[in-house]
Amino acid sequence: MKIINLLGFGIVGTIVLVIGGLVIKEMIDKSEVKVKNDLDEWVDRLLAESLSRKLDYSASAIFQTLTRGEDAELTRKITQIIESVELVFQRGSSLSTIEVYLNASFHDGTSFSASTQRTWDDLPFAIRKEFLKRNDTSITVPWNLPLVNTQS
Amino acid sequence: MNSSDLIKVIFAGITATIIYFWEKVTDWARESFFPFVEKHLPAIREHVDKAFSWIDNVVVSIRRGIKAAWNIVRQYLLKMAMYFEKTSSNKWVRKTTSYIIKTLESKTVTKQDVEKEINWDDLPPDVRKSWMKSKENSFEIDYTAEKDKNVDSLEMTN
Repeated sequence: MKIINLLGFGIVGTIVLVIGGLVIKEMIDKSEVKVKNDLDEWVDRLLAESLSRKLDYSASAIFQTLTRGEDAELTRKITQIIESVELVFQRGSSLSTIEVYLNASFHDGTSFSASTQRTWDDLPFAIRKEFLKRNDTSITVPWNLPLVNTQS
Repeated sequence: MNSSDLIKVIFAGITATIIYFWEKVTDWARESFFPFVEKHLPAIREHVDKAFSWIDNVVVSIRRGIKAAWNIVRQYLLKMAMYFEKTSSNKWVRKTTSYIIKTLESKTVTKQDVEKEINWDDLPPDVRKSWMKSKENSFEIDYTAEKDKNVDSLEMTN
């Protein structure tokens, strides 16, 4: 009887652990996608505004192209003008608040920078992992525009 | 409460505290714990990094979930206030007033009052503390404002 009870506990425990693990994984994946999308949108909006002053298109049209890449002609113009885009995550004495800098440079020799503040919870996992792993005060990552990747 | 229940309560309390003060835990890990492991246990540093990152991933997603859930509730719950009044030496009345909208498009605010007699032990710690200080027999708490503050602390913008 005791062995059957133990076996029952073992099976129920395993099922609970597996379901719990799957639920946690789903929760992590969903929240991670939202954080990445928020950051993507922030970068795309700023780039769109900057590019609209260089190209003969509205910021909203450029934003749509940066996010969906539907307009082939505009996509080509954007990839031709952008030289590099990078994000710099900089912490203070604490990890609680992180400054995020967007640095973009263009082939016409101009550049622009913008910054925002993010909380630890609003950083992508890869960045949090790097901050925990290294004791550096800043982490720089290249920003690969989806449309640039598909063009190259 | 038997010892098993006590262990569960202590475990839940520790977990909740770690989740709430997670940013302090990460600072402590970065400033003290990781250097300690690096110096005395370099062989397991990589495993410690991986384990801590895994825990961070779980804790942060729970904190994100709490914030997201509270933000959804706040869209419908405009305000919740609790009024406490002393009626006898050990008895208090808790009156909870909520102002809610049933749909996001709704322009009608519904007011809901719930009244309940409670014991001294059931009072929130802040009310008990204030009463001991001032001996006043009535207190009001803006519950939504208090919770907003807690969620702001989770966002670590303080």
